[in-house]
Amino acid sequence: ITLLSQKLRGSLLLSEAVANLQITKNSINLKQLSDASKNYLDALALVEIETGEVIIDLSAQYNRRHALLSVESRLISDDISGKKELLLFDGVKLNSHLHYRIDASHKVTIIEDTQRLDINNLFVGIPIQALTVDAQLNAGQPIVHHFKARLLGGRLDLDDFKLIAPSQTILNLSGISLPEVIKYSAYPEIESKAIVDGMLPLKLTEAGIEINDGIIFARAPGGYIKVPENTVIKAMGRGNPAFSFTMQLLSNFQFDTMQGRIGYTDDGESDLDIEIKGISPTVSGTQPVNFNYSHKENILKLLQSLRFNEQLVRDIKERY
Amino acid sequence: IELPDAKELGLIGEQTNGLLGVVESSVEVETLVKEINLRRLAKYSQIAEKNGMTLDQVSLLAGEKTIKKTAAGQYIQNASGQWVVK
Amino acid sequence: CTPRVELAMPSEPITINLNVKIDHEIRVKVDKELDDLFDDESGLF
Repeated sequence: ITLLSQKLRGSLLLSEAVANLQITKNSINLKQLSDASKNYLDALALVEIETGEVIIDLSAQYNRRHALLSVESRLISDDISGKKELLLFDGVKLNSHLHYRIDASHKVTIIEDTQRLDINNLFVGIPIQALTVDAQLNAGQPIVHHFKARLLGGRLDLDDFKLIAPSQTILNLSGISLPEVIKYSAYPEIESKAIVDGMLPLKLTEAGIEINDGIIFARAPGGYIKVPENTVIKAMGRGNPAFSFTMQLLSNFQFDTMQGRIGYTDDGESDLDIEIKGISPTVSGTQPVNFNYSHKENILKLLQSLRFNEQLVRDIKERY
Repeated sequence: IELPDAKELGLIGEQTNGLLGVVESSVEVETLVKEINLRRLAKYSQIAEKNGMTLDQVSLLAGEKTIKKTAAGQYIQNASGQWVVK
Repeated sequence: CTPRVELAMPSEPITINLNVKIDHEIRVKVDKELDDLFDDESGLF
């Protein structure tokens, strides 16, 4: 297939009863494939593959008399790496095994359908590691049986999520480190300590993914938040006494409980309402302090600007 | 003395608040820094006015930028306020 | 004398509210204005 600068070796046996196509142990160099197919598939236009090879095994029999088609394919890739715009990925391993039988009335019998994707590192603005997807193509009704990944010092996972709308599942967050989250926020200089878990009802609609009434809570024994002197928040508060008092309380806020609600819309708008109960020893001794924090931000735009900043830093490092 | 040379010679550096800081003082360096900072602050407050932000906010964003743009080998102020060579 | 234990009830809790809205639009626009400031404005960077 000179078009895609790939070579495929196979055998095609034709008899009046059966047609049989066999492509065994063919390997495709993904870098060449993606470079060559860029101008045909605009979806691939922004993808740059650095390394990666896929071994293909395909066998298809078509029984003319019963109009019965049997297709079996195995795709195994080694370590694919590359980027799509500013999204970086490496250590991508694909392991796909598919065996379908399709009869004259196009009814599909699934004999084998296991799709497994592993990604060592995926950078979307924040680094995501050890991502694993176990899924089935399921004859056009794809479903993710298990998805898990490590990020922000903790883990995220979900099960049984159909990829055709409408569908829903529960996104579980566990062991997320508050300082890691704040490191990627607009106020990275804020110091903190807490481990956060969460359960986020995820809904897939025609428009995309949304979260309604997700709950997050800090693990016992809670933690602390310390807003240092020279931050932008303090700058915003100058000349507003109530605000300055809040900042004083938050300069060393020790809390034992933190719980909140999370909303997320398909265009990326996130909405967080958190109740934190603790004390601010240096300012108000052991008097209980209830801190209600609400946060609105577009997460997709945040990740985009984080990717942009990361690229800027990389450019500068390369140039100097 | 010109701004780029003063930076190259390590006499001044970029601070986190978007302003220049003196690393090795001299009358000439002090006046250069004062003059540049005045012009920068005028620009920052213009931008802050236009976008409904505070001067400090714009200065901090400017600081992020100037520090990132600073060439390796020149001085920048680190998170705890000390001069370090990038 | 009999020891007297006095349980001082902690006084009323202080309630503080903080609402933060991060608008990436402004940040991107300001970012661009600052880029231009340090590029074409001679002698400011």
